[in-house]
Amino acid sequence: MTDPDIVPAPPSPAVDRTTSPTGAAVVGELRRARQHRRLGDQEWFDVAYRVYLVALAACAAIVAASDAVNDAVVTRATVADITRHGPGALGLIAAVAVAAGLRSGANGGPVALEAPDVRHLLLAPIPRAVVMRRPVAQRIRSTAAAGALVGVVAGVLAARRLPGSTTAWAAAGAVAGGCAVAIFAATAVVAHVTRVPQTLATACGAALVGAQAVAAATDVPGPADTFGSLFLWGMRQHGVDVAAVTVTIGVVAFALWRAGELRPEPLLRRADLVSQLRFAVTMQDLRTVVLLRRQMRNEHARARPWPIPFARRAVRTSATTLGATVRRRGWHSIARLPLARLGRSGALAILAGFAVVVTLRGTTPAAIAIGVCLFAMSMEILEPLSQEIDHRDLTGLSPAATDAVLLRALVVPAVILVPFALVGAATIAVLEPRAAGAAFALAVPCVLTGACGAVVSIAGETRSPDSTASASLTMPEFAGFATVMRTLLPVAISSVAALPVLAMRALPSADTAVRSSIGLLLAVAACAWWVRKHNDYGERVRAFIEEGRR
Amino acid sequence: MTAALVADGVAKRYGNAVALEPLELTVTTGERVSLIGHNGSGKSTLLRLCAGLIEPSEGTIAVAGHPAGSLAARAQLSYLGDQPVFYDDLSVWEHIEYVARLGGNGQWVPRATELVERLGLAQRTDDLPASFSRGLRQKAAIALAFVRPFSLMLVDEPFVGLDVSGRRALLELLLDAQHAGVTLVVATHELATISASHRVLALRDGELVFDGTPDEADTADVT
Repeated sequence: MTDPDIVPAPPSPAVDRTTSPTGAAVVGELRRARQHRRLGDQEWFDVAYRVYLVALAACAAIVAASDAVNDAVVTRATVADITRHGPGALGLIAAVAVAAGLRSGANGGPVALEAPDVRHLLLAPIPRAVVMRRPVAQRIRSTAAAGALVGVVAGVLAARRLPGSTTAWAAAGAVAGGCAVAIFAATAVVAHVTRVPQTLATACGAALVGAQAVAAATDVPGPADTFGSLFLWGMRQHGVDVAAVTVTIGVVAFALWRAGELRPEPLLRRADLVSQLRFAVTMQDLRTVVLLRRQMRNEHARARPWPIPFARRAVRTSATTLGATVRRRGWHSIARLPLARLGRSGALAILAGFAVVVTLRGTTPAAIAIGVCLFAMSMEILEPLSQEIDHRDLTGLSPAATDAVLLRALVVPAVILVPFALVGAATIAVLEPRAAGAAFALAVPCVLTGACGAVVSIAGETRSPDSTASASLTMPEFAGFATVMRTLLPVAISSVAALPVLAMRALPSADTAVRSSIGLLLAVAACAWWVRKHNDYGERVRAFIEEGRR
Repeated sequence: MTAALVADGVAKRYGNAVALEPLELTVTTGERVSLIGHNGSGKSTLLRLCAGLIEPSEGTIAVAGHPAGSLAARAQLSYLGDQPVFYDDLSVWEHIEYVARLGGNGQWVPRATELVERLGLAQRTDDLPASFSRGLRQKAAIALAFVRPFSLMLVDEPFVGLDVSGRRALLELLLDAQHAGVTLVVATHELATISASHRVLALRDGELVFDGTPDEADTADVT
């Protein structure tokens, strides 16, 4: 009941002013209070010490990695070739960044606010620029920093093989990487506030990437050449390349100026997802991260399935064996894959082919990119398996063993990966015709091996019902290490697919190709065996340890 | 009478799915409107459109003559959503302070004190609402909605999770607001609220199927 001593006050009248001079001050106070609350228990010197340790470890890792890569210094002819085609090829990164930014902005990216910010700040009678400018700046700053870091690593590695000092290459890499990524985030904001339609964004992005691809393959100047040329400042400097920095600053400034016009509707949708995404990242739950990223991009299963002949036939079939049933389910899943995901898989296949060529030409670290590309591509295509994992309760209700279902769920994705393997092989054949035969011979085993990492990442989650038990079995001292291993192991497994490339570079012969194929197929078979048996063995190990504890 | 809310041919579609069919609506100042309908009928969509949280696929909405979502429109309205949303690291009192000050209410303490007393939150003001039960979260959300200045209030399913005292407190707060001349649009299934309103709007599958007084409304058919 209401206290009788308290006289109910009538609701306050609405604010009769259209601007709030104190709004910015209140928002600033709110953010400072929250920051103070978050950081209240931390000592500044403790934070500084941690930053110092991380920076030291990062520098040591970069130097050690560059020392470990003992690739030969390139010839003068190659340097001339890089000087000629490098700006075009490296400019492709900036072109792709702008294209991705256009798409992201058209889909409501790239900024994600917390849900309370949307509800309480965006609905408050204060100018939205006051609220939005800081998140936009933070987004651009963090992506630019990540790009600069990648640029530094690439610059240090380039300095091992190309003329120019390590410092100059690292600095050039930092600026070029920072610009290429900052322009992604800034372009996304600009596309968002100017309400670029999705089809127009896709068309403009495709035209830009296409024009730059032509520039990379020929002597025709490309729209993003100055961005690529900036990276080569480690060995030679062209004043005109400053234009890339100027353009980036200009787009960033425009994005910050118009930040207040970001639309609440996509911010509301993304806010609902971002807290889940943060939690998934904290838990190193890669599958959930991928799933939430797709939702943030507004990417849904196709309402109308692709007319896949296999899928249609599968629908009509009345087979009731486990294999046939799971295959039907797999074709149904594949038939709903959105075009964007298929396009992304194709782009990753091309990128993997490009990384193979770079590795064959002597840059060993590019082998890691092969594994990463194949891992990411497989994560896109392994949807039938992912769905079984996401809805394990349904799988658990069936009379069939879960592991048997999961193993059969791999069949359809394996078939779907074959055309993408051929796309990668075709890329290699175009760029390195000498390696065409080996590329087509090894493409399918390589891609299937690359998919093994993704399978381990996804199917490993079936242990989740008991994950708390398994986590409790891990000693606290090893918990961090175990988490890192869980994240890195799948990519490491996918990187096994790059070993035949190194073998073919060292000893290019039919015998090497045959031996490599056999090795890869054995790895695929081992992965299939793991899918079928890992839960059984996991249970036995857990029971054994529990018994030991008692 | 002046119009507090005008929807002119407003519609909302998500791809091929229609959330709200083109709608013409005028709510006069001081009117209390109940918005009823089955789940998925478009009530929340309409309220979010009015609040400016989502954009219409076609048509326009004006709040006190200003486009929905604009600075001037936001200065007029308070929105109590169907899901309470709070910062993880601010207490109830800190939430109230910031929401009131962001809304331009400099003298917020007496009103905030009164609200937490009436809602039974006086002993919980230093606690984090993010850790509250559904009912307590709803009470905290009600306090936030009422502490800021407004002349139009949009309320979406406000009774979810509330206990008897919470329901009573909310009904009293709505009644106080009505007496103070505030325009109220309340999406609800609660018959007590519907009967206290001047007007009932019923939505079915995104279409306005009834617009009349509570006495004329066949609530059994549309709730």
